[in-house]
Amino acid sequence: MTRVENIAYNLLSIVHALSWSIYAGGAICMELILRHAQEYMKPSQIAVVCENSGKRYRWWSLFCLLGLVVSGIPLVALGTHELGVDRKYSVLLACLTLLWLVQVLLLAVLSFRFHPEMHARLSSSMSAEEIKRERQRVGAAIVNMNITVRIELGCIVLALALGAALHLV
Amino acid sequence: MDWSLLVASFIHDLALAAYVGGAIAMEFILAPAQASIPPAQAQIMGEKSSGRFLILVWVSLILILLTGIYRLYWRGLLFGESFLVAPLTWDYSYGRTLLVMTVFWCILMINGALITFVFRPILSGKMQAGSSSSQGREAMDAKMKAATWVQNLTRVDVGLAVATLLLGASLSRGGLL
Repeated sequence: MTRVENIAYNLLSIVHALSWSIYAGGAICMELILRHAQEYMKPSQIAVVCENSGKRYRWWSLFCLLGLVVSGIPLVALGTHELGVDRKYSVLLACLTLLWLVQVLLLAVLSFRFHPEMHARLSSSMSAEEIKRERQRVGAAIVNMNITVRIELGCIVLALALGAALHLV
Repeated sequence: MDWSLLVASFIHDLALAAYVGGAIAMEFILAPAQASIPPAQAQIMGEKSSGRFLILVWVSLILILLTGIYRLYWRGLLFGESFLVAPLTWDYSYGRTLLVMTVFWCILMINGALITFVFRPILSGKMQAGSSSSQGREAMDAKMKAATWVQNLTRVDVGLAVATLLLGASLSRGGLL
């Protein structure tokens, strides 16, 4: 590898390491820390905190996922393994790529489907029955969001395990 | 593939991510969200989230050390023919990079100890019944100073953690220093 390629490889490794650690650590933080703090807060304030933190977390997740692919592809190109020839490496890389696609899909579902549905659309002209249905709809959206976030965290942990295996091949 | 090395590497990466990503999430995601709610609720959120984050920090730092030592031992770089085996010596970039990472880890441990055992007890201290107004003011001043220290130490920790991660990423290519 030439000196320029070596510098490029180091820079790309740095971007890649930062991307996966912020993405994984952010998900762990939201699940283990924010969820714990919410148990001691008023429901109205939980909604405000969730909306605020959710918006920021989505953007951080998006930049991390982009960072992973933007740095990952040239890292594979500059690496010493030959795709298609080195079977273990190729299979692990394929699994990681698939997991990355799943994460992008989950982020899209959270951003465009479940997060907007969590906002209660109440008005003074609504009947008691309509208010009840609206609250049930929001409740269902919160349950869906929780399930999706936990699937996301599971996929992240699996990706970390596969990434560790990839470096040992 | 050795399974013990794989598990150690996985735990090392997970602990690293939990520390670095957790610190960044606390600073850039949770802290702004905390600022959007009334002060009384923000204080509850701050206490509970920082308490849980400290547990995560301690567990992560200890796991990073233990798994890091195991990985070096497995590679024959520690406790081999001598305590440190090349390239884990000062003469090599790999050794110098790892030494700086170890120093950073020690600083993170010291900062963690200061936050846990010095500043958090001040922050969670309660006023005694019958305290005078000057005692109350002193207690408030101490809490404000402790809060500032915690904030600054946390920011130093984020910087050091990111720097350690960057140095760690360079190890596969022989180190950076």
